[in-house]
Amino acid sequence: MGVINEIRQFIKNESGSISLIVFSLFLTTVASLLVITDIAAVGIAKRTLTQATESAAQRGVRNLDKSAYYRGEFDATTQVQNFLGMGPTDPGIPIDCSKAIGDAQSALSDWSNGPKSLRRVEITNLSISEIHCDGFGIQLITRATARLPLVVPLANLNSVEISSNVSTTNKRAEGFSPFGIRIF
Amino acid sequence: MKLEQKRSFWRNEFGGATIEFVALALPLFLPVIFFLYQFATVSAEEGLARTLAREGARAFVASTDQNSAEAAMNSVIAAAGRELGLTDRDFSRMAVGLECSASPCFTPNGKITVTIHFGATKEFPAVTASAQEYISPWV
Repeated sequence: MGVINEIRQFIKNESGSISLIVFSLFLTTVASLLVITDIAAVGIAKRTLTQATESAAQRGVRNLDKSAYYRGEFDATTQVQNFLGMGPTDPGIPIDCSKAIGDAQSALSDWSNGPKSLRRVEITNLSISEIHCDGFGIQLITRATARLPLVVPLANLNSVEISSNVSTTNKRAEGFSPFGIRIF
Repeated sequence: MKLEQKRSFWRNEFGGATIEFVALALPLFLPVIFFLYQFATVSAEEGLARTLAREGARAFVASTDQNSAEAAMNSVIAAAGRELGLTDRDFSRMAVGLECSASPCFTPNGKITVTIHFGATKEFPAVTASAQEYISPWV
């Protein structure tokens, strides 16, 4: 009987209740803070990886395939067709796929081995997982490991895989360039 | 009589919960708030520096010659910085660096690296971010 009364008194006793609330709130805040910090760091790392992938893809796509570019050149017939508004549609700018892929890989390698300020500290193990080239555009998929700045206790998670997917094509500069001489 | 009043003041538990909350919460939560503020500010500044470096490098390689390239880079960085909320004080501690793999910088297939550096302040450490781009082979 006495023990039950003591337990009842202990439950009803309100002294120290604020401490419990503060500590539980603090633990919740710290746990949220760890998760939020990690998510933000991974978000920034992914953005950095996307920028590097964009830069590599843009470098690759500049390799013009000259033989394809000058095939079916402009002549008197196409001039008349263009004048009548029935000219051939622009197929896009053909690119040399083997050179494009080589240049894109070299750009990413430069980025990996360049100064530290190019990358976020979290990014490691950068690799190209896929490259596609259809003769007019290039698609580059990169993958990297992002180390988490704060390890969440009990989650056993200290890094995540991030990937970035970029596609790019070339666009013909608009203007008037007879015989390759740019007038405007 | 006064001694009795003092004793009753110390024994009175009225408002004790508030004092308990403040005494516990302040030392626990203040460092957390400072950490959040520091992390958010430094991350935002690094993101901003990275964006400016990238946009500056893009402006450089998309230009037609060396003179216009450098002017375009500087003007894009200034305009983008204003757009992203940089103040005159931020601009005064910002430095723009340009490194080139060839001379002059605007050489076909040349590599350029644009670096944006924000100097340290009393509250925050220095932040540096760079971006790399390649000049078109057809310039």
